[in-house]
Amino acid sequence: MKKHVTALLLFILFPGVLLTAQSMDRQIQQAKDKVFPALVHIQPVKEIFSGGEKQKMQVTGSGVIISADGYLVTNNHVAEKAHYVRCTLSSRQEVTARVIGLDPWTDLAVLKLDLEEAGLDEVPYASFGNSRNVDVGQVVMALGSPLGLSRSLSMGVISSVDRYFEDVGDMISPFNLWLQTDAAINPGNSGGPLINLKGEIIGINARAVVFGENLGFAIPSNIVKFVVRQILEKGAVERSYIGISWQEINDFRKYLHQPSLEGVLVAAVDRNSPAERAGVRPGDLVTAIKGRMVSAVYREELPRIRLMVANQKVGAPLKLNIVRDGKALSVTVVTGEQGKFQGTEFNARKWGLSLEELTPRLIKYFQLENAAGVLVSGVKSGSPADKADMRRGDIITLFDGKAVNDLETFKQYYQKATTDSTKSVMLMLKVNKRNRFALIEGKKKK
Amino acid sequence: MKRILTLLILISSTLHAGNAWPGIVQQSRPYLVEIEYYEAMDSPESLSKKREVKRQLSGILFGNEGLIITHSSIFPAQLNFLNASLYGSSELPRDITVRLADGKTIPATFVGKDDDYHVAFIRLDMKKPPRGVKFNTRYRPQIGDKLLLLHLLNSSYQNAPHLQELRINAVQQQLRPLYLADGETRALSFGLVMNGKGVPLGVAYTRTGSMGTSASGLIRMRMASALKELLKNPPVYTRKKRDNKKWLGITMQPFTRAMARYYSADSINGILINTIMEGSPAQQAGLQIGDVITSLGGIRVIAEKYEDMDDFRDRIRSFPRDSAEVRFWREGSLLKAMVHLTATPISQFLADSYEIKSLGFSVKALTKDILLAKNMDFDTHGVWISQVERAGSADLSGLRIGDILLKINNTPIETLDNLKKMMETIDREKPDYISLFIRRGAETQFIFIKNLTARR
Repeated sequence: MKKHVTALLLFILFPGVLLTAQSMDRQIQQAKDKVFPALVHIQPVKEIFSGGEKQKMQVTGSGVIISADGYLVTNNHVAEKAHYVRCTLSSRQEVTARVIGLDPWTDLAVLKLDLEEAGLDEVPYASFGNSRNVDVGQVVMALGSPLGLSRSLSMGVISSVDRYFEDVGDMISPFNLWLQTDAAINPGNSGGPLINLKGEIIGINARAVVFGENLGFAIPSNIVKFVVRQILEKGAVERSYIGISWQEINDFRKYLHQPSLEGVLVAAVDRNSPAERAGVRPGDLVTAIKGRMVSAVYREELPRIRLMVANQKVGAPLKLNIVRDGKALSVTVVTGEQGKFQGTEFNARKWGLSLEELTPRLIKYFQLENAAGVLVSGVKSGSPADKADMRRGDIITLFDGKAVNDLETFKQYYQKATTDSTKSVMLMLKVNKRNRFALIEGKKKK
Repeated sequence: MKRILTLLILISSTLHAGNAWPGIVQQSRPYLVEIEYYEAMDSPESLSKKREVKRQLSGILFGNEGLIITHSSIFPAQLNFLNASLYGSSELPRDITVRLADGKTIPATFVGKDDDYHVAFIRLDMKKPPRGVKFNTRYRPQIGDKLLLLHLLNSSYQNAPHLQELRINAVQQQLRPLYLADGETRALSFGLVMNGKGVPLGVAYTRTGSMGTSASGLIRMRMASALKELLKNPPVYTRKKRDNKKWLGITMQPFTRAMARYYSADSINGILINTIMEGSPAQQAGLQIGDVITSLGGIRVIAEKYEDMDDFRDRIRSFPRDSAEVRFWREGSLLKAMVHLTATPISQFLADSYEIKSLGFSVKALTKDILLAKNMDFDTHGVWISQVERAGSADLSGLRIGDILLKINNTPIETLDNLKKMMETIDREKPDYISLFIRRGAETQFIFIKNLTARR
């Protein structure tokens, strides 16, 4: 009898297991079938300055088509500085694409496939899901070209929905949290979609931890949707800037013995920024922005506040409610424009020098007083600049005794000076708080 | 009697076997001493646990007052602010003992050092010290000169005296000439240089850096003729004193011939001032960026290569008087100015520090080396975090070595005294959290530290 029971149980359970397995498999297949045709293998040829020279370099990334007329999304770090972009669709058809817009602040880019040239009317595309509904433990798939292996799919679950990363050098994500997944993500997956079992894009894969195992990170689809819309409408994401670095208040609450304190702490105020002009000080607790209560007890809540400020109109007054030394006050900051992420580059070829415009980010990084000068981004070995001991990271402040205010001024001086190749030019360089003179020697007259 | 015997042996050995070495060793061995001491190894990550490491050096007893000359690595702290590092100990060598040739062990005290010559001085703590070596200070060395080097091998060789012959293979010409000889003497820490007859001429070492990195296959020699002043008046180190060298307070580069041509000033050669530090003697004398210094104290300045800068720097550092006439070229005219040369600003090694054990960090007054390293204005006053105890309260809250401390509990901190006062209040009131407002790179931020001594 006992034997019979076992057999019966097995009989009842077995088809059940079979059914779920089948439906899981079917769900995966269906989801994959929805997005796979929209997957793109991207091979941009970049023009970069290296060693004081313009050089070409090919990289590999992934992307996903989001409209029938051929718009596709990928990472900024895949598409930036691309001179020519070759894409391979999942049908293996090769199509060129051009860059429509870049947003380094979220590491996103929008490209457009040249369907006409490829003789196509339309292309299959995938649609976005709502990343707010994504939950930890949910099954997801990553599609892309890991290490250049095109049309690959890996599967895993969502490991975290609110991963926060501090900015490190050029790796920044001030406005978003990250979806973390254990679906294998490798270099080359960059720009590819992370999808749910409904076949919706819930994120764009962008980062992985080197030497980590199964630690991949995707930009949530809601951020992607916002950035794409802005790029399609205006060509870029317009953001306002007030010059405040925010800090969460978890420990500040403990220090003040006010466990229910709400607000966000001002940690730093940039020099010459709108916030500084309005009199905002480090240590102020901001409780409301434009009448809306704001609070960040934990750092995961900071991106939302940064985004709120960034989404204000440039040049508009922004009222901040502040608590300073226990007293409530309000200040009005007139928002400024968020400066360029990457400055314009220039190749002073005759001197073997590549130069970069000083952006607000660089000014802050080098702790400069103002934007005057240009940054040396590379020096070609054996060139006149190399002979004058110029180095990457030097800032050129004077050109034959005249102030170099910006890259345009430098270009003018350079073009004029180099018409006569026998003329020498004296530059003044700034390295940290020290200066150095550099003589670019003209050719000897024959 | 003993002396006569030595002499006889010396004569007999030279006469008979033509071998003077046994005599030379016997005669000079008493001047060579072994020095044992403890070096404090400050860890930036630990306030309480001070580790000490036993070290050995050899030295040379000279004169009649029990003075011993040895390598400057006995006290590795960099006193000069220009090449100081963030790490290391400013503690003097402790428990110095000297073993004389006869086996007696005598305690000794640290006197001072000169980083430019890489030598240091210690003194035997005894009433009647044995007589030391008398150097010949008239010797003018030349490349190719044959010399003898006597030093003590390390303890694995039972500190046996080691004599070798060498030649001056290279001369590094500077204000303080350095004589270089080929030789693989890895056991050498400090030795006595003599001529072929055993007449003492100078000292030799292989260690180059203050931390004792040895150069491969090169023996460095300093002759007594150059060390004369130091031997007569050894530098005396006191905790409070500034660096005993002088400074001008500029950074500079050679004014090359090409630059001279550029300015149509073909006859001008010298040192081009490119930076003038706030509050420096150069600034006070009215020197400007772009000026070309052509002479200092009546001596012409020649500068064509970057190495020539060292010579000029050396000359300033050891300038015999407090003021110097500087002649310089500015926009086509030759001008002169009197510069009042003051003492070089101290490095962080000599800066006062203050430990806050309860929070697990210590703080030092800002010195010029830190300002340079942190890219801060040269006249900034303040304090910086010099130690953070590993896994201590401050460490757990995210405080880092190198952070500039701006405020504690909303009170600005500009001096160590400010901080001490603040800490007295904190010790009295025992709040459970303390707020630090700090600068790290371009950004400021708040750090809230749990006070482990707080009342419950």
